Amino acid sequence: MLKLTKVSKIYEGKVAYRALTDINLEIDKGEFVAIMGPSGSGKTTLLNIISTIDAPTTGEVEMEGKNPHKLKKNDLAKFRRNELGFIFQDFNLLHTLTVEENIVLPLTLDGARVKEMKEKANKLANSLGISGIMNKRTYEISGGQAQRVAIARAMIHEPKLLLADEPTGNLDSKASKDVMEMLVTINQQEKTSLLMVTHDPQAASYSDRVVFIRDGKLHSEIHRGDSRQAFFQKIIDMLSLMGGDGNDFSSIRV
Amino acid sequence: MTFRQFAFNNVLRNKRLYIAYFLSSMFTVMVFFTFAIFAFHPAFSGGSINENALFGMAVAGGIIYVFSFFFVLYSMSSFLQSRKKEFGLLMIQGASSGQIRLMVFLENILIGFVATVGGILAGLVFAKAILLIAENVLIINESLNFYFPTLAIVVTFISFIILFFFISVFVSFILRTKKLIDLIKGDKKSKGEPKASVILAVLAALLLIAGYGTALYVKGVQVVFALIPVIVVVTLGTYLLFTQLSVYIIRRLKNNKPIFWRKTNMLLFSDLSFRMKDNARTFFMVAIISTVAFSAIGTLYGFQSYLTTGVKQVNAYTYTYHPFLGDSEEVISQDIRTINSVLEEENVETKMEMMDLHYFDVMDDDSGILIVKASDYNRFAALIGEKEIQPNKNEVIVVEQSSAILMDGAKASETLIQTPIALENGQKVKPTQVIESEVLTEINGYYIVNDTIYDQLGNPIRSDMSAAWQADNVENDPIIEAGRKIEEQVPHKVFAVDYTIYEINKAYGPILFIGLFIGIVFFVSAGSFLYFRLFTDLDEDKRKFQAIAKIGLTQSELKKVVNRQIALLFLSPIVVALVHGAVALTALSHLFNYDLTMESSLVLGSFAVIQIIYFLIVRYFYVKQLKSAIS
Repeated sequence: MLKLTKVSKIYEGKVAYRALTDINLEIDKGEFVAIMGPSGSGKTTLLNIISTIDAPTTGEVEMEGKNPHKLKKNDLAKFRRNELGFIFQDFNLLHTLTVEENIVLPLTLDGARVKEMKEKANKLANSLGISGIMNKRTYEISGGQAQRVAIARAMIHEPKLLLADEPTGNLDSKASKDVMEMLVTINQQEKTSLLMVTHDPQAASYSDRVVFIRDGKLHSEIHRGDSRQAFFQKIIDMLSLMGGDGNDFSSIRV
Repeated sequence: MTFRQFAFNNVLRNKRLYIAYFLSSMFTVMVFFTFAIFAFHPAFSGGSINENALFGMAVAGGIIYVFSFFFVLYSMSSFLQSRKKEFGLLMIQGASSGQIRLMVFLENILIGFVATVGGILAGLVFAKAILLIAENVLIINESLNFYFPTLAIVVTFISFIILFFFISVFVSFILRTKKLIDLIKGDKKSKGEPKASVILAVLAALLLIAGYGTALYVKGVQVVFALIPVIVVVTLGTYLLFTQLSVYIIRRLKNNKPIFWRKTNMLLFSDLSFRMKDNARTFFMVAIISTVAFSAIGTLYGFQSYLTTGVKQVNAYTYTYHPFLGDSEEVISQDIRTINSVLEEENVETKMEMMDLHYFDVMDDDSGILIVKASDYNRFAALIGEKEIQPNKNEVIVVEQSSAILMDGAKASETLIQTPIALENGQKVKPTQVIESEVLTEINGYYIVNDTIYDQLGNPIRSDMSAAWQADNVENDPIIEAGRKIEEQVPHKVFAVDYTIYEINKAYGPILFIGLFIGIVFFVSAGSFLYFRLFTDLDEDKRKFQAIAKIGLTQSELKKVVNRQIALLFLSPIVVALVHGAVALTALSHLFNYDLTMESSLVLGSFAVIQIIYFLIVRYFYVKQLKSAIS
């Protein structure tokens, strides 16, 4: 459903910086893909391009055969509203709104009926375990709760593609586990495609496939087998392989 | 939650963010409204104030309205700047730019409506005070009673609802949604350090020096011709001063490591240089607006003092009587009887002196030169407590009036001192000294001679007479009232100083009041520009000081850095404006050849004091906010 062809991104400036080089990536419907790589490898740039926050310098992005970057302004807004859901590391909830209002925001922008919004929000809140905090403001809830609210907000309009940028980055291990399990459940039940950028191998091990990028290029990818445990080990191995060059340690000290 | 609810909740639950914008909007409404209360007062519709003053008030109202428009527009756009990230987030959630514009529009309508209502209510509270001030400044016969200002309310309400509507349309129109990534990272991205060109920095200094030099050098009528070029040059110079010269100086300071790396200087200068791009525009605007306010108020005040002191200096006595040329003895004595009876009627106790004025042919011209007997002079001098003069037999004293009189060319005394007086017996007496005195009003100057010499002067070419009354009463009102009656009954022959000044003040009052009003509006709005500038950076400052506090920053160090930062922000544009204003008023005093030092230092000084108080208040709250963020 998502297809990237030879996507490159160059940041112009005093020193032009090549953030991404010829990325080809394809994600099927209902697939859960994690993108991993060291800091500065271009993970977030890639996610921003897919999410239409940023535009590629060259190359094509296609979602279900259409290139969202070619859409007109208002169509693009509708596209984001209807097809995409976002989850951020720092939640990005609007602090002026209550939890419930934050959740229904995408539908509000779409002009949905209040009753329908209430129903959907309540259903999601139940399944995410946040029904008790619906009337609280965002500064009154914990990080784990905030991320679940963000997931609810990303899911309420039943997007085709859910994009997550380090969703567990600000959470403790228990909350991370809960959030990842929720994402997997959503992925399996709703058949929502999921693309996640992460540093955390634990979080990545919940995905179907992990794509590694380094210095803006695709490095390799590994698929999940039956066991999440074994997959986690493979991810760790790959990370340690990527982490250093063979000649990092000089044999002679100066 | 519908979209409309969302937009309203966004405002209502985020009061701190909106409060500054709301207050400044409310303030403008209040100013306009209090002005309207004053302008629509029933006392004026009766016709006690002349049409010119009413026209002036209409123009002033227009100026305040137009200024309000730009002021609110500026407040709004600087407020929107600080909300980039919020808009970015909404767009990620799928808000179209049309929806964001709609949201901003709704917000503005809401804030505008509440601000209009609030401003009118606040204005009602201050209305009585404003009317009292107006009554005293204006000198009107009727008192300005408090009334329920229905017309003012309606006019203000309609004007501002229209204004806010147009601003809402305008703002949502100029709110161009840029690239999403820029919006989201908007608050993190530095705008970069501005660059300064040496040439432009030097040019800034040159322009200012040239402008000031010209303004201070020109005299008299030249001031009028120099006005426009000097304004252009100084305005340009001020712009370059803030955008180039200041940046250049800060850069030089930064390159000087012993200064830059000294204690908290590093924090201060690095901050300054990065904010200079934003600050420069605000500084420029504040400096120019304040200069306009200072100069306007200084000019009006100085002009009033020029008019009244001029009158006072030329006419030392409470009442002076000069008959017309052809008046017979009877007419004169009749006039004087009338005057005395009026004075008695009004209970004005006066001392009176009369003297015949004889003009002699000294310089071979038709009008002749006045020569006064020392004893006559001394009688008049005694009335106003001036020094008596006793010239010897062969001494002639030249008298001229002090600088109050505008004269082009050589002073009267310069020719008089060189002209000896011929006596009947052919003897000539030379003038020996020049004194300044207000005892007699004679533009061309006159001589005083010893009584014995006076008798030897021969026949005068023409004669005149003068009578003077000096009042003993301390109270002003009967003196003015008597003056009014005397001018009625003996028109054009009597000059009543206090009554004339009263009339001048009465005519000038509305102009002064309107000028003060507009000046204060400009000054206060300049203050709120600075406030906006400061509080846009508050969040960034909080983050910065949080980070530094972790490294270790004592409370006193924090205070010191913030103190200097705010002091620079608040005081530097005002200092520039004060210097501009001082130069402008000096040029004005050159135009009239009248010393305005007292007036301009009073006006500029009081503005400086107000600004310092404002600075202290704002600093207190800013430091408090920062402290609460750190601990």
